Amino acid sequence: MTTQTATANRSKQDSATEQKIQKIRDVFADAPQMAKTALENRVRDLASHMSESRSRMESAGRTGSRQGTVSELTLILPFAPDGARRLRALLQAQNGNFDDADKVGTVHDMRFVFLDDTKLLFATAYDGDWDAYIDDFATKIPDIMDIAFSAFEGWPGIHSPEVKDWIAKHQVTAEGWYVANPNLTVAETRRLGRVGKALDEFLDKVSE
Amino acid sequence: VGTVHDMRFVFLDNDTKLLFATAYDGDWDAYIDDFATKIPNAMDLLFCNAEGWPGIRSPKVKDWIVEHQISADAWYVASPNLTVAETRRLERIGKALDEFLDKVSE
Repeated sequence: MTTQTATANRSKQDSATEQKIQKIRDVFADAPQMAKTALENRVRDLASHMSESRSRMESAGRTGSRQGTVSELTLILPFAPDGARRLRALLQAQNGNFDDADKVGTVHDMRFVFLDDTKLLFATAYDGDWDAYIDDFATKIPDIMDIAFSAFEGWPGIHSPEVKDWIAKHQVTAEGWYVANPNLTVAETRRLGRVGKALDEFLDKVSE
Repeated sequence: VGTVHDMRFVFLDNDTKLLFATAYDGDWDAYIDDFATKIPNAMDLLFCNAEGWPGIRSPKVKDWIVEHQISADAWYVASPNLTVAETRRLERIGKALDEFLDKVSE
């Protein structure tokens, strides 16, 4: 009896998987042949990802995606007149120095990409929740925020009650978001860096 | 692939364009080669959805990627000396050390 139930469950799962595979094939029906070949090589893996009970991707709060502790924020911001020139001059003056981001302490990485000098793409990976992250910038580095972001059309100022709505309005949530070490915050990674160094020194000492 | 720190896929302008942004270890050429040799099928599946994708095995694939890449004017990384592999090694060391200290204090 138990064996029968197990067999029945398995065949139910198999047919659910088959349906999922068929669904992916349907979506790729008009794709180039190269893609269809690649799909057939990958289809079993994809179907098994689809049947994982929990997606590894979650929401970062108000907007954005998150994997583990690491969230993504992507903004596309229209430059104000002369804004591109000002921001470029500012970034050049920084000369690759981002002590301010170090001060915030939750930023994994951050990029500024000029799109046709009419828009800026700002993309970052950070720890935790959207609201706390924006609050951090507002309390820890308000001046640099106003200097940098006044380059954009309609920036209300970091102290304005409207600043979060303005940011959320320009944010585009990633549909796919991957992080190599989703369990490590910036702080924990730095701590581990020190642990590794201390361990190396210790081992050197022991073997002296 | 083992050298990718993070990676995002963002759909822009009513599904007319994709923004793909990633942080990775080391050199551009080696990174593209890694994707081509380690996950060619996944690459073709993802990128065939972009106009003009020559295929991951095409000799033109690097030119195609370069043509669509935009360099950042500014780029910040919290731990610039740590590769993905080194970070994972440190994570294991941290765990082992915690277990060791727990054992010692038992």
